[in-house]
Formats: sequence, structure tokens, C-alpha cells
Amino acid sequence: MNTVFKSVAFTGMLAALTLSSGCRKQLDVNTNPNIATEVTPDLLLPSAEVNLGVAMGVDIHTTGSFWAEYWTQSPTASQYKDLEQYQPTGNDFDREWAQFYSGTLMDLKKMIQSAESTARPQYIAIGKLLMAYSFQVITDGWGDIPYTQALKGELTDGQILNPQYDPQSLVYDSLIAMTDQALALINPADTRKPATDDVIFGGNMTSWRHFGNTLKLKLYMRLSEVAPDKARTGLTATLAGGGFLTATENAMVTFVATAGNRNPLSGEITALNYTQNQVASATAIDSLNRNNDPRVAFFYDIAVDAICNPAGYIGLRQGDYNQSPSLLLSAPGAITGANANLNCNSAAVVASRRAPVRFLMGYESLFLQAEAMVRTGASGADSMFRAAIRANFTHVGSTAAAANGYIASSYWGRYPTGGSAADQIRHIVTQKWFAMTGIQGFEAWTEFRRTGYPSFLVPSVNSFLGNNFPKRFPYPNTELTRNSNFPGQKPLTDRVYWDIN
Amino acid sequence: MKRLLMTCFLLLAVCLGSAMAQNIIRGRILDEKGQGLPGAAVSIKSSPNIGVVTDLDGNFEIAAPASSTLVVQNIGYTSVDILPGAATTIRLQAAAKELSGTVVTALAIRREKRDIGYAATTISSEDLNNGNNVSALSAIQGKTAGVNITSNTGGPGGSTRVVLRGEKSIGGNNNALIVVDGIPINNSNRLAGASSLEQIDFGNRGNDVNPEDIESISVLKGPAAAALYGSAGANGAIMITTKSGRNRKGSGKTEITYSTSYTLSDILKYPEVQNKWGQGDRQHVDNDRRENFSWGLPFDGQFRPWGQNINGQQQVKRYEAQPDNIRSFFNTGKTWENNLSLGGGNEKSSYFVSLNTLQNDGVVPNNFYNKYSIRFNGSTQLNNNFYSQININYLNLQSRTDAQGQALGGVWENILQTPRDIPIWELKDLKNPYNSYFNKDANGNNRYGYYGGYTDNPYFLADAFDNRNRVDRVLGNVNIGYRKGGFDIFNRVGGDIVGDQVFIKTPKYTATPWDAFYAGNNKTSAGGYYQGSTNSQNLYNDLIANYTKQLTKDLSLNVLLGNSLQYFRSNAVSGEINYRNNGLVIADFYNLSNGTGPVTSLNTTNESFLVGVYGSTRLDYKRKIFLEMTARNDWSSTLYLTNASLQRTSFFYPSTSLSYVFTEDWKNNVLTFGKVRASYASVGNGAGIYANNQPGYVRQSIGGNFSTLITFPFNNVPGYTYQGTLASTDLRPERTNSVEVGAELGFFKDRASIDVTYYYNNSIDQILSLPVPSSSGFDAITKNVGDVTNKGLELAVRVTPIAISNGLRWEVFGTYTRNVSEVNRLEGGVRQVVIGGTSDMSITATVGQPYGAFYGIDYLRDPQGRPVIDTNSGLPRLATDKTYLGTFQPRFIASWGTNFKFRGLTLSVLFDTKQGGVFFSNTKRLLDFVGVAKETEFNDRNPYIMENSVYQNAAGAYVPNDRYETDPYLLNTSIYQNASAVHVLDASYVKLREAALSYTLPQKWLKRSAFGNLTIGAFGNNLFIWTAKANKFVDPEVNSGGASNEQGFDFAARPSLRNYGVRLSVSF
Repeated sequence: MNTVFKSVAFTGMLAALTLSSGCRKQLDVNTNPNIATEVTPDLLLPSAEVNLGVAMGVDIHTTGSFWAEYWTQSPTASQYKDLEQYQPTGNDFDREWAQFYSGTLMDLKKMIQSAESTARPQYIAIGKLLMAYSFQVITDGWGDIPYTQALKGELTDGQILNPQYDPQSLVYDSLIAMTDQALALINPADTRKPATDDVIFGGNMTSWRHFGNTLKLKLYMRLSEVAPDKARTGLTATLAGGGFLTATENAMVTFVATAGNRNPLSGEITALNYTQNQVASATAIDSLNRNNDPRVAFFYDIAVDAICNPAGYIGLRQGDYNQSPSLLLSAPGAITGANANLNCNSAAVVASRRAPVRFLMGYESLFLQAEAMVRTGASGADSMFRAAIRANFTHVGSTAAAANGYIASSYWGRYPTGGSAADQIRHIVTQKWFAMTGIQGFEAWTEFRRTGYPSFLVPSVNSFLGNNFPKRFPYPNTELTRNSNFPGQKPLTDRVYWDIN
Repeated sequence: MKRLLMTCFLLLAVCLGSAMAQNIIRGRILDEKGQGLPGAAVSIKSSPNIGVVTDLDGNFEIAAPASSTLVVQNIGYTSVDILPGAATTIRLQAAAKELSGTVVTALAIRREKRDIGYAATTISSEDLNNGNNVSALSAIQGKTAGVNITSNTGGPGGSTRVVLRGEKSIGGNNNALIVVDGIPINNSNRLAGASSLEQIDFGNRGNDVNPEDIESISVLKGPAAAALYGSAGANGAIMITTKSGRNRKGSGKTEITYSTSYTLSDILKYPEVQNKWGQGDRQHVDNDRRENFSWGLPFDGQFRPWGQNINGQQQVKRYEAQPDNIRSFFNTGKTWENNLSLGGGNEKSSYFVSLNTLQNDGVVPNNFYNKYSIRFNGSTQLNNNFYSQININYLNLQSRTDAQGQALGGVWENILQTPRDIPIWELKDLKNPYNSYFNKDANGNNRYGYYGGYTDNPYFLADAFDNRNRVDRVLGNVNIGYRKGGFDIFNRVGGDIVGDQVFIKTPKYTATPWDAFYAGNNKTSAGGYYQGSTNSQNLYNDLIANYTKQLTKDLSLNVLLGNSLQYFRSNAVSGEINYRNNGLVIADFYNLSNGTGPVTSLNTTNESFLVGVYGSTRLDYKRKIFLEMTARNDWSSTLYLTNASLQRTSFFYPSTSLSYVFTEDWKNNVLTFGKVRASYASVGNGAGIYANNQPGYVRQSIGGNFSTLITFPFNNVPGYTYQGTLASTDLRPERTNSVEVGAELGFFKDRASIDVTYYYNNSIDQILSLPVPSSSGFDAITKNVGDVTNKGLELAVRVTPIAISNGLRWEVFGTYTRNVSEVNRLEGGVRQVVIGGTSDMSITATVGQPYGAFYGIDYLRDPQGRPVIDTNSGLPRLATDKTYLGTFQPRFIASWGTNFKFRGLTLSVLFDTKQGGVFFSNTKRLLDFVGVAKETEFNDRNPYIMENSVYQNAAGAYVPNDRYETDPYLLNTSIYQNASAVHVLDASYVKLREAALSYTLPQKWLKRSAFGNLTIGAFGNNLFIWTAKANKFVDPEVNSGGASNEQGFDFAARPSLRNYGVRLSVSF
């Protein structure tokens, strides 16, 4: 008995030693101290804007610039051969898809929620405009996309983890409506608007209104071939409302040279230890040269020989990467963010770090207005066309005077004033293609798909699609393996809804 | 500090020294020939922790109550019970190793193997250290069935992954629990690279334990065995018992043992290379001096200049193959190990002290791995029935290792890319202007003279890129108990405190070439520095009461009740100046104040707490039938939610096992021992720390394909992002249900034995960060999903064909393990979870496939599976989506070994094999690309019609290809780079895992010397490898994912090592 007693006493003693405090208190160590649970809208806005810049500025920019034939794969490297073969794989776009949806759009959604609860309508307006802009890029790249059921993963939204795909026509209608909702909220006099946290317009709500109107032009314009009447009606009404981005009003994220704040494409190139994968495509650079276009010196870096002597603006035939690595070729210019010529032009490499990622530009607004005028029969397209060229010249670093010389002397600079509407549209879209050389590759490739202009693009030498051009991005692998409502992969030659070209 | 520690140890030793006898039982233990058997363990059956060892003549005396049953145990002999009052002179019967002896079971309770109802094996110190492996975990390889061990490098510092009975968790840890003297220890893998594509693997913490300190390792393979460890026990457990002074011969004496070994290491398997073509790019410049391509002209033996022209001077060599140029880079690794241990004691108290040093110089210049370890183990039995034990181990580890894969400082990748005619050894002198990066021109600018325009001098990388790890670790436990009669109550408190620091220095440099031909090929690095410290504490407390009672003459009962507390906390702080998106201001100054941009700093605290209560009941009927039942309930903080009921954190799980020694009833001269067993267990597991927390906001940081691109604040504007992982609010604990049946058979008095087990494990409700389509706004949700089964067969056979009384003994043994894994279900539309790999080659858990399924981009194939050739280029077209390519699970694992003993001479050999399974080899991809691989010799590099290929005619039909030739140059330099499927290889291998020869000098030679024992020997481990025919590249055990779930992934991983050396061991 004594043994039992001693045992029990000893057990009790030890138990007291080890269980001296309550269980609930011990177990209450499960709140993650490494995250914040609440933030204000001004902390989400810059995050979403810059994330959109990264999503737009790396692989989408490069793929667009390859398929718009501004750039081609350098024979000295091999990163983008699959783009030239027209056989990118689904996982090439996993990152961008996520940067749009769970990155940019989700932060915009949380920002809108936070702005709603704190009564800041200007944040809501900007949030919706950036959402509409982002969704248009996504649907232009992939066609049918998750929209109505997208971004509803949280319990409060019904936890839709496998969103269904919506037809692109429905997405377009919704984006126009969303843009209108945003425009209705804009009030430049509202003092609770963003300031430096808006890294695009610094809280200038008038600029955002212009952005919204220009975005509507861009949305309606994309329907010009598939739904001409709807497009014309929409363009007429939008033109009548006015208030578009002006020549110098550019919606873009400007990056800075500070480490960790640099242009994302230049960041990728730095991470690849300054490998110049992207070089000038002969399609673009030869056309610029033929037109004596002074912008060639900004869109491209001059080719140099082994001891840095300049050798001219030289391109490689699109997709002809099996050429000698000793060929002298032009690299993209600093304004594109893709210059890696550390040896002969380190200033261009440094400037590449500061290159902006462009969303919706002043000159683009003018080109869209010019085309809208032609399509709706309004007057003024010719002067708008010239203004657009001047705006682009000054944006890339050239001068209005140089623009005037170009307008006067070059085939693509001269507006076909007495020509047919089709001829005028051909000129406007082709000139817009020149204007976007290496700086808005995705938009230029998308407009090529809509209109077929410029008509002088050639299939890649190493095309695996024969004489066809790629008409879309492949859906990302993450949708294929995760979304039970994924409707199935599409071949690269499948056109998106508005593409009947 | 060290001196202070030593003083403490000495004081402890003194404190534990007192003892007094009482109720002495005396006896003598004889071997099968009737000779006194020294070193046999005699313990009190009801208190297995109390015991003595027989002296040189086999005599023992033990203090025990007169009513005690004693147990006599000795390795190689069948255990015998001495009932109260029975004769105490006992003659033992020899037994085979597998069947007799003891096993350390869950909670470090030592039990006889006979009465266990599940598979468990014990490996003795001698067997473990046969091959002198520096890793105790790697040393288990081939020695027991049911274990899948992968030793990445096979040398000091590499990771070792131990998986018992297949991967049970899709996203969590699958490594076996490692328990040292009853305390589960930290076995985390220190990986410091940005990703597995550029891994810096400093090894896993389980390898810290000094193998020389280990007395035995018990491998508890199934959940039933480890059920009392709860959560972590689902993966099985490796129970390490360290040495104590008790097993020294003679009582009251001190034994001093000193051993030293010297090991040489070299690379086990080099890739097969071609020796016909040299530097150049056939398509472009045949003899381009900058090239990393060996796609030049065939060798002609003519003199040719090579490398750069420096001020009109250029090196000249013959254009011919350098067959050994890869090999020539590596040094012979050298490891010197010293081990000094002191042990002693009497029947009341014992102590063991050991000092261990290991100094290693790696095969890559400048790599090293140095480990210093001190251990003190002591125990004492007080007069008033109290007893105490203490085990303490301090170790200090310092190592330097090279980065793998495509890291900027990746040594191996740069060696592989060296053209076939470049003499690597001539690049060694980093002051020589033709190799140097830092010679200055007249203007004081750095000029490099290295030949490669696209690669770096591996000697420079090994010199300038400096990755170090420093670990200070204390682990140990204190056990205080009270034991009287059938009662044994003790409290064991222990901990594992690890301080771990990593320092990564990336040099800053810019060098332009001397030679104008190299213009544009600058060597540049912005420089970087990373410093990270992780301090972690694992603290445990077990309070256990154990009661044994002989209920009737035939039936005895053992009841155990316990309470367990586990506390874990880790705090990590790191700062980084990343060379990719930041840089150093001042070169060679490695300090976080020296960044050109803001330093990326990170601090993370994790904390968890677990309370468990458990109990077990064992019934023993006539030492013949054994029934055991366990039950445990845990409360885990990881399931806790503020304001929610405690009930949510609670989970219960039981196990039961039954075994029957049927030869007790059916005596047989052939089958002399037979036992059948069956068990069932269900093991629960809490969630990962904070896994049930909803997402919050963190500082925005945006990644690209190759590095982090944006770190906020952005131009001084702060920015936060909503996290991408949702959490379920109703997380339940994970559960593994397991059934096993087995038999142990001994023939001819255990001259031959078989141990066979079949098991079936089903893991459900797994807590997994399940990927969701980003279109939902999130990338993953943490929830209970999934259903994985592992079923398999384990077989161990041991035969002793010769055992003659003159001391000749020959033994052969083998093991066979087959595990079939299948992911039955994930959730919803998710059919795949990516575990690792690259963007074009995923290692996954995919529904309907075994765990570890490879998915990669293959050729586009027609419905008959034939590759489709593009008519324009003659190259095979690629599929858009990934296809299944096999799994990293081997079809079976087997081993075969033999031991031969004659007097003092011992020879042992062990082979092991894994057959089936695949791995992805980026080494192959790279060697194909640069034209170094032997297989690029195919068809003399002339275009050919690809075997069994088709093309699509104008009508879209697939037509057998008889016209479109494929150019191997284009195939290797473009399509092969994107067709990741081509680089998935058969991972089968056979290895000569260990071989050892030792000789113990006869006692009579040593009589007049100071030595009690002297053994000399030679050993080797990882000595030879035979691989599948397709694998002409690397040892399939190498891995870029360390000991993580990302297995079978050779992303230019460090090659594995062959180790061999000599050893001397003496005792005084």
C-alpha cells in the first residue's frame, strides 16, 4: 500500500510540475503573428498597379513583341525558341494568369471592399477601371475566361473554387458596363481620393475619367469586325461624350532604378545575367528603315561590332534563330526595358531599368479616336492621326519636328485623306503598329489579329504551324489541372470571339 | 564555454557515483558451449531499465527484490527468464539476429522482440558502423526491409531521406520520426538555395547524431509500432539509443575506447561523354574559342590556339579529346574522424562520455564539413527506489558547400559544359591571366582571360562563392523515476535546441575580356549577401506510469498510462542583398549595410503546443500469446481557433496488435521458432502551424521566372497584398489507418530465419494546401482532402550456413521491399498537386498514379504513340500539355549481404538495389545541349530519319516518316531542351553499399600491453554502382530537392561519393 501511495504522490507531484497552467491557454498559440489582418485601400492600390505592370511587362510583353514581329530570338541564346516555333506550352503562362487573377484582381477586389466600408468611392472607381482593363487583356489573350464566377474563392462569396468560363462576348458586355459604373463614381473634387499611392496618375481623377472613356473606345473598337453595328453605336456615343486621354496623359507604371523597383523585363534579363534573348526582327526594323523613321533609334539600340563600333540598325528574319551567333544585330532600345548590352551601351541597360510598362497611352487614345472617327463617319481623323504620330514621337524621345518631317515624307506617315475608309483604317492601324514597336507588343499583336494589319508580317522561319500565325495564348496548365470547369485546351490557331479576320 | 561544459559533466559524473547494494541475486551465464559468457545483460523483467552485465567469466550480481523475474539477454542468443528462486546458472542458446534480442519501442521502452505484434527491426552498433558511414541514417540502407532511404551525396553533409512504407502525406513531411533516447528530434533539412534549381543543401539535422555514440537503432516501420508518438508516428520511427556505461565488461570498471578512421572520397559515377568532337558550334563557327558547345569539328590532333588572345599571346594545344577533364577537377575528399569514449559503472550507476571530431575536406575545392560533438549519458539507482538518467549531447557543426544546378556559383554545371578538348586542370591557377577574372589592364580595369564566353571557371566559382552553415545544438533529456515492485513511474523531460546560421556570399565583380573576339561576353555579378539565423526549440515532457503484474501463473498484465507535452517554437530572422535584383556597393565586404538597394529582411515566428494522454494494456499468455492495445488522445494547438471550443483541437486514435508464438504449441525440429502477428492502428495528426488561419496581408513582393522582381516599398510607396492561400475553418486532424500481418520463422534453431510482413496503409483527410485555379482569386486552399494508399510486402531472410565452434561463422542475409503507392483522390476538379520540378517537368501527386508521378512535355504523338515530325524543320513536334512519364517510386528495393567471421577476422559485404522508378536528369539535358553526352555520337551526328516517326500529310493524316530527316544538332540544341520527357530516365541501380574487413588482435598478444582490445580494419561505402542502360549520366540517388518530397530530381545535383578508408579502434 505504501508503494501505491508513494507512486500516486510522486505522479501527482510530477503532474503538478508539468500541467501547472490551463490547457486552453497553452493551446492558444495559433494566431499567425507573421501577417496583418487588415489594411487600408491606399496600401492595396500601389500593390495592384505594380503587379499589373509585372503581369503585363514580362512574358506577355515579350510574346506580344515576338508575334507582332518587333523582336525575334537571338541566335546567341535560346530562351524563347518555343515562341518562334509557335508552340509555347500552357505552363508558359501560369505565372501571368496568376498575377492577373490572384494577384492584381484579388487585391483590387479587396481594395474595393475596403473602400466600400470606409466610403472612398474614388478608390472604387479606380479599382473597377483597372479591373476592366485587366480583364480585357486576359480575354484578348485567351478568349473565353472565368469572369462572373471569378475571384469568389472566399466563403463570403460562396467559395467558388472552380469558376466557370464565360463567353468572350459576355465578358466584353460586362466590361463596358463596369467601366460605366466606374465613370459614374468619379468625382475629382472628392478629397478622400488617392495621392502618391496611385502610381499611375497620382490620384488625378480627371485622368482616370479620361482613362475610362479611352478604355471604352478600346473595348468597342475590338468588336469592330465581329459586331460592327454594336461597335459603331458604342463608338459614336463614346466619341460624343469626349474626355479622352490627351497626348501626354499616359496610363503606365514608371519604374525606378532602385534595386527591387526596376522594370520587370529588365529585372528578368538581369537575373539571366544580362543575356540578350530579344533582338530586332527584320520585319519591324526594315520597315522602319524603309520609311526613314527616326523612331528606330529609340525602339532599337544600334548594332555594334566586337569593339563597339556602330554597324547600323539590323534585324534578323523572324524566327531565324539558327543563324551564326556572330551576326551583328540590334537589341531593343532602352525604352522597351529589354536592353542587355552591358558591354557597349551600359547606359541603355541602366535606362532599361527605368522603362515604364504601358497600359493605355496618350498616343493610343489618339489612334483609337482617329479610327473611331473613320468608322463612325465623324470628321477630324486625319489631324487626329497626325497628332497621334507626334504624341508617339515625343513619348519615345524624338521630337514633334521630326514627326512632322516623317509625316510629310513617309508612306505610312501620310494620311490617305481622300482614300477609302478601309485604306484609312489600314493606315491608322499600321501606324499604330509602328508606334507600339517593342513598347506595347501585346496590344499590337491583338490589333493585328483584329484587323490583319500590318499586312506585311511573315510567319516565323521555324513555325510549326506552317503559314499560320498564332491566334491566342494556350490556357495555362494550372487551369487544366485544377479547374473542374475548365472547358478544354484550344489549339493556337483557334481564333478568339472578335477575331474573324 | 566548452571548459565550463566539461566541468559540469564531470560534476554530474561524480554525483552519480554513489551506490549501495541490497537484495543481491548472484548467478552465472554460460554460452552454448558452457563457457562463461561476458557482457550478457541481466535485468529485472518488470523494470527493464535496471540491469547489470556479466563479467569476463560470465558472473553477475544484481540488486533486485527476491520476487523478481530476471531476464538474460545477449545479442546472438535467445533470451531467457530466470524465475524467482530458480537456478541462476543459465546456459544460453544461440539464435539468429533477426529473431531474438530487444527492440526499443515507442516512448523508448525496451521490449523483447518476441512479444511484439508488429514489424520492428533492430540494428546493432556493430552492423550500423560496418561501412563507417558518417551518417547514421544512410548507414541503415540495405539493413532492414520496409525502408526507402535516399542518400543524396553519400558523403559528409548530404541529405538523407528515410521513408518507411511509402509516402503517406501528399504535401507534408514523409520522413520517419527520429527519436534519440526517447526524445523526438528536429530532422529538418537545411536548404538555402532560392529554389531546387539552384539548391544549396547543407544536409538534414537527423545526420548530426554521431554514429559512434549509437548503441542500437530500432526501426519501427508502421503506424502501429509508433502509434504512441501520435502525429509524427504515422511515418514510422527510427529509434536511436545511445550508449551507456552499463554494457561495459566487468562491474565498477572504466573502459576507454578510442577509434580513429581516415576516409577518402571520390565521385561514384561520372556521366559518359563523347571524345570525338571538340569546342565549336558546327552550325556557325566551327572553332569558336568562346564556346561551351562541343558541336565543333571532329578531333584532328593538330595544334590550335585556344582561349583568349592576351596582348598578342595565346595558349596553344592539340585539338584532341581530354577524356578525363571532368574527373580532373575534383580533389580526393578526406575525412578524419576521432572518437574517444569513456564508460563505466557498477550495478547501481553508470556513465558514458564521448568526444567526437570529424574533419572533412570535400571533393570540390574549399568545401568542408567539420563536426565536434560531446556526449554525456549517466544513470543511477538510488536506495529509496528512485532512479535517474541523463543524456546530453552538444554539437557544433561548420560546413561550406557549393551551390547546385543553375546557381550563379554552380560548380558542377560549369564543369559539365566544358568542351571535350579543354584541359580543366589548367584552369586551376586563378592568378594566371588566362584563367583569371581580376587581372588589371593599363587603365586599371578588370580583364578576364578565361576561355569560356558563356561559362565560368569552376575553380573561380569554388573559390569565390562561399556558402556556409554553422550549427550549435544541444539535445538531451533528464529522466527521474520511481520503481518498486511492478510499479515504474517516471518523468522524462527533454529537448532539442538548435541554433542554425547560414551565410551566403556572392562576390561582386565586373571583368571585360582581353580578346576583342570575346566582346560582349562580360563576366559580371552585382554581388550579394545573405545571412539567416533560425533558432528552434523542441521541448518534450513525458510522464509515464507503468505497472506489471503476474495475474495468474500463465497470464501477466502490463498497463501503461502517460501524459505528453510537446512544445515547438522557431524564430527565423534573415537579411538578404540579392545579387539578381540588388547588389553590393563595395566588393568583398559582406555586410547587410552594403546593399545598393533596400535589404530584404524577413522574420518568422512559429509556435505550437500539443498535449496528449495515452495508455496501453498488454497481456502475455504463457510467453506465447501477446495482445496489446493502445489509445491516445491529443489536443493540438494547430487546430485551435480563438473563441472556438477546445473540442475542435482534440482527436483520439487507437491501435491493437496480437502475436502468437505457435512453435510453443507445435514443437518441430525444423521450424524451431514461429510467430504470427497482426496489428491495426489509426494515427491522427494535427495541422501545420497556422494552417487554419485565414489569409491576411503581407508586404507585396512580386516574383518573375528567374528572381523576385519587385519588392515593396515601391519608389517609397508601401504596398501590401492579400495572401493567396485560403484556409478551411473546419480543419479536422489527418488520419492514417493501417493494417499489417506478418510472420517470423526460425529454422534449425534459428540458423535460418524469415521475417515477412504485408501491410496496407490508408491516409485520409490529409491537410493539404490544395492548389486551386487562380481564377478563383486564390492559388490554394488548406483543407482536408485526399486519400493515399500504400500497400506492400517486406521480407527479410537470414541464413547462417556455417557456425563452427572454432569460431568460423558465415552468414548471409537479404531483404526485399515492395511498396505500391496510389493517390486515390484529391478533391473536386483537382487531379494534380505539384510537389516539385521545373515549369516544364512537374513531380506531382496525381489521382490514379503513384505518389511522385512525373509529368513533362513529350513529343506530339499520333494515336499510336509515334512522334510526329514537323515537315518544315524535320524536328519532332511537341505536345502542348504534359504527359505521365513514370514515378520516383521504385518497383522494389532489395539488399543482399554476407558476414564472414573467423576468430578475430570479420569480412562483410552488402549490396542493395532499387529497381524501377524514374528520375529527371537535367544533367542529361545539359550534356545533350552542349554536345558532351556520349549519346550525341549517334549516327556520327549526321541527319537521320527518326525511328518509328510519322508526319502529317496535307490531308492531316499521319503517315510513317520515310523522308524527313532530323538533324541531331537541331534536335539536341532546341527540341531536346523543351521536350523534358526525353530526360526522364530509369532510376534503377545496384550498389555495392558497404564492404568491410577488420581484424581484432588476439587477446594473448595484448596481455602485456595497455590495450584491452585492438581492432584494425578497412571499409568502404557506396563503392560501386550499376545503373540502368539508359542512365549514362548520374547516380540516381542524387537529388536537388534534398530530403524533401521533391525526389528523383537531378537538376545538375552534386554528384554522389564513393568512400573508403581505414580504421583503428583500441580499448583500455
